[in-house]
Amino acid sequence: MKYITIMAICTLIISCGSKNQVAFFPTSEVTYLDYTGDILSVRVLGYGVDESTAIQDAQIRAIETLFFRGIPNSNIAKPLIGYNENELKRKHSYYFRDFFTNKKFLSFISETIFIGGQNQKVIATKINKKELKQGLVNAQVVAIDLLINVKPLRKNLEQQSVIKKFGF
Amino acid sequence: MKTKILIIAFMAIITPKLLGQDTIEQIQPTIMVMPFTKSGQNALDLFENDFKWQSIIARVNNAFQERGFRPKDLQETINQVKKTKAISSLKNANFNVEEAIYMEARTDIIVKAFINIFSEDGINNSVQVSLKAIETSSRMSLYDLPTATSPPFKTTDYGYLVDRILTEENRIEKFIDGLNEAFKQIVDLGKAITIEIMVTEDSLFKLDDEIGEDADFISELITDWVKQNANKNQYRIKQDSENILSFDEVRIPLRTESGNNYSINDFAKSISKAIAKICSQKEGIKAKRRRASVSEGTIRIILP
Repeated sequence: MKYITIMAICTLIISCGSKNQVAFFPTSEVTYLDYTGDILSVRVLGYGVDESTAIQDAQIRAIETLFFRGIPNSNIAKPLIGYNENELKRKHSYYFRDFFTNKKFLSFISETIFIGGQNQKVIATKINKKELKQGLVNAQVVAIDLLINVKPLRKNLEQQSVIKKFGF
Repeated sequence: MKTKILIIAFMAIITPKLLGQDTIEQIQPTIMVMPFTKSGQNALDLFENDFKWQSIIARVNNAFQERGFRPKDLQETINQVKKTKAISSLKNANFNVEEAIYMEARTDIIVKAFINIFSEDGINNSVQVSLKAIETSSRMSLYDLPTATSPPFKTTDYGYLVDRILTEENRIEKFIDGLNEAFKQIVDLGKAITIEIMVTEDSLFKLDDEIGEDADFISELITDWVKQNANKNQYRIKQDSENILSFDEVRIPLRTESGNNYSINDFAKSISKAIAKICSQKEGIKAKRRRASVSEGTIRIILP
């Protein structure tokens, strides 16, 4: 449990940019737009210290929602991998390290359309050497439309044995 | 040093076993897509003679193929039935065509594609499609895709309309995912089969013959055996009389403990041996083992 907490915090720090030592809450503000053919289209909010980190945060949030929670009100409402996020991430740690840290997830995104962004004060976890503290921080919040190429993503997960192929 | 030697020895024992397991591929279920109409028309006849029906089935087959799975071909199965029954057309066949196809294909899962073509104004056409995956052995529904209707179009390209229904909002992917989810349950719970043990005029034993000091009926001892050997004790008795003992659901594992594939035929072999052994416990009579017949997920055995 301790290991999972440390990993989660580390991931959040990395995804948000380590300079400011702020961890934004892992929300799933992902709205389904369309899923026809191979492309899943979603609108998603991302948080960061600047626009670029906020966009990447949005991309990761969308993919993680698809992986571990499913996209509500769509025909892909069940998670692509499974509900037990922490256990699955631990089990396939090598895959996820490559996928997120080495930004392999970008190869499954067909298009990122910037919808808008603004500076807002949001509640986040401030991290310093001594403690973790929740409070209001200045953040760049962006909304993007993301087109995810689901078919090759699923094939990749199958090939890497993260999910099983169709059948027994 | 001693610990290192122990670890190496342990790895030497365990590694070939693990590697061995990886080399055994799991036998996959066989699937075939069958057309059905809601109007009562003979869908197989329509499939054989109308290209639009073939394109509809091809579209569903294609969804499985896209996932790297090869369903059985309906047309090939129909051709085989015709060859076996020595007929040139399914029209006016004097046997149950649907059953003959099931018998020929011997699939684990039948995907029933219900298709309804209609026009509200006589100009524009709509198509309704619903899919239902049935486990052949238990007749249980594994996954249903509810009826979806295409918007009315001034076209007779029904294959296009079906394609639109299935790909819009990716309904077909939802169906494949739902079916795959059901497979996970089968892997966990075991494959459902049915068993029928019957007494005929040739049988020396009866199901209510008493065995041993406890005066157990043969049927009770057989039930105990099924209970012990069904995967996770998953079994259900359908009928228990003096002439027939039947189970409408017995779950068998897909693999043995050592990782080898396990089939209904393996289970049939074991149960026929067990029945002969149980009957032989009756004093003075030696029971001869009867061969079990296996068809469409059902084991049938005549009591010795």
